[in-house]
Amino acid sequence: MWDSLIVQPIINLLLVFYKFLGRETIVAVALVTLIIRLALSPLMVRQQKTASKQKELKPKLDKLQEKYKDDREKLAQAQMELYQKEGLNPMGGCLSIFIQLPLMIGLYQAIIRALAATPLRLLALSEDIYTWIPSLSTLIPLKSQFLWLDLALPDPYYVLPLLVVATAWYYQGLIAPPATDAQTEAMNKQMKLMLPLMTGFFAATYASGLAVYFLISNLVGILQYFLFRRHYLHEEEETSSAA
Amino acid sequence: MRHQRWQKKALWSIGLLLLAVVAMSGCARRGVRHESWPNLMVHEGVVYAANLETIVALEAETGDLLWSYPPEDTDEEMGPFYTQPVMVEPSEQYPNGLLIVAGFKDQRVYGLALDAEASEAPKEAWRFEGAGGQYVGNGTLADDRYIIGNGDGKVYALSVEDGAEQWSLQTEDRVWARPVAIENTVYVASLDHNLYAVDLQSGELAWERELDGAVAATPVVVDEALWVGDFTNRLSKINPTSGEILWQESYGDWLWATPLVEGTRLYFANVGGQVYVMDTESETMLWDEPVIIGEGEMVSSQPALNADGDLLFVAAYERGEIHAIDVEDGALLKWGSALENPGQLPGDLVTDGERLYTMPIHIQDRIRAFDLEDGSLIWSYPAAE
Repeated sequence: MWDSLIVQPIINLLLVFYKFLGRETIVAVALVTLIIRLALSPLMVRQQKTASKQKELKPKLDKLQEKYKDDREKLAQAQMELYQKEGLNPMGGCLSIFIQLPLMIGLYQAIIRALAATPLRLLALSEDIYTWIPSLSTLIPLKSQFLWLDLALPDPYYVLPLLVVATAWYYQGLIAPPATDAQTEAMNKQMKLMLPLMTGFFAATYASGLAVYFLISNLVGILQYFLFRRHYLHEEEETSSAA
Repeated sequence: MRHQRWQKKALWSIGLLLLAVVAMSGCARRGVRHESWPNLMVHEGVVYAANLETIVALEAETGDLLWSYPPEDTDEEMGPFYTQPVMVEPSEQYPNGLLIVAGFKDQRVYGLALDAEASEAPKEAWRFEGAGGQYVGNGTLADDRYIIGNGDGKVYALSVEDGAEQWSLQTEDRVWARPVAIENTVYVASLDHNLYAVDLQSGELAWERELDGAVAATPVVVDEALWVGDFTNRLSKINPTSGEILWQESYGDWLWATPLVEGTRLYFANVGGQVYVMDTESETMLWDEPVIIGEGEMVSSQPALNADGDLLFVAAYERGEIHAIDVEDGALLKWGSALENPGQLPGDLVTDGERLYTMPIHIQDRIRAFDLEDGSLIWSYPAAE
């Protein structure tokens, strides 16, 4: 089920791109990443919306905190009511992680299986290729070398992992929700450090094809952030001027 | 409350990332013992098998361990092994014979001088460390040379005397097929989609022929023609002198397993589990339909025949079953009984006229010997406690 719904479609998409884009695996991986990121754009917009709404609600939340400072239950209830009234789901931002994670694992598996570094993997690949797409088998084995990289193996010089950490750190800084108190700020700082280090660890430990995915994913995310942010600022300005 | 939610969110994210580590670790099998695709050979009543990180010699009749190499007290890591060991007949230099085997991760070829005492472990006579990739395909002996392909795309010809490199030929991708030597020419099939003919003495390229697909199967010779299968499902008949393609036909799925030759008959199977037999003289199929050994089953290993040549044995990779086929009409016959834990069978089937040997993977039993007549399991190694 997992294979037929997630991994095999990605493998075959990789093969089709590989076939038509100069038989460069890195280009095929980059394009698949781009498509996945674009497909996740609506979630990104939602995440941005949640973040900006949370910022708008800060004064009201502060008032509630002041009002119910001695009753945590009532405070929680009042906050929930406020969120409901404003049509905000505070956990909405997590949805993108829930959806992105299976795709990330699927893409990683697809890269490893498509590059098939060992005979057992190559043999298994024969089952993953769609026979109804003509001549995909003629592409096997895929070229795994790109500059100093073997995409099926980790980057020996850690260039890609470092780029992944840098872009992930910057991206995390952009998308973190606004800090409304000292503790949120501390958490933001923690996340800004933890997530880049974790993705950097993946990029350094696993196939460099995955590092390519992380890097392109981060770059597209940064670009999307600025595009959508501008869009929202514009929207906010329009709303306030209309008011 | 807000910071609690954010904290929850952060913990969720980290938890999910850790889950991803576990999921990806499972796929990469990091930290897990590397499972190889082992092969064995039988020589004068002894089974020689290169298995995971050791090379073992077993009594063919009983499965009793004669020796294991490297010795237990060594720190050196060998293997894991994919290649079939080959035996160099006794010479003045190696009076008890020389066993040659090549490793996968360690990227070395070892020449092991056998001892006069069958139960004594061999001594390392030489090693070759000049290759830049992993050894997967079997090597072949020809004119005091050991010729083997490597993951660095090269084919190496080594002196069996001291392991010195005599020549090498660069191809564009990994060489996983066993080179084939006929008279003074070596034929090399590569995953780069090409078949190469090389001079045995000098290593000079005589010709190369591009095929549509990658070739992992060893080319075989029937009636002065080369037959080779590729990943575009095609079986090709090739003129060994010129490299010209004389005949070509498609057979449903990748042809990975090396065909078996018996007289003018060619037995072969595709990874889709379809088994064929062809008369190479008339280039016609002898069975009306291919024999299908199981729904969704794969065949990656060379089949084997019994001593009379009337039963064909084919290994089903996924379910680890051995199927016996009547060579005359293609009927599937009952042979042996189902094993409790059959493992998987990627490696070639080997017979010595009395027994059929397999090397299952992903299970504790690494070598099994079956009675060729009735399919009963005679022994397995390591023996169950």
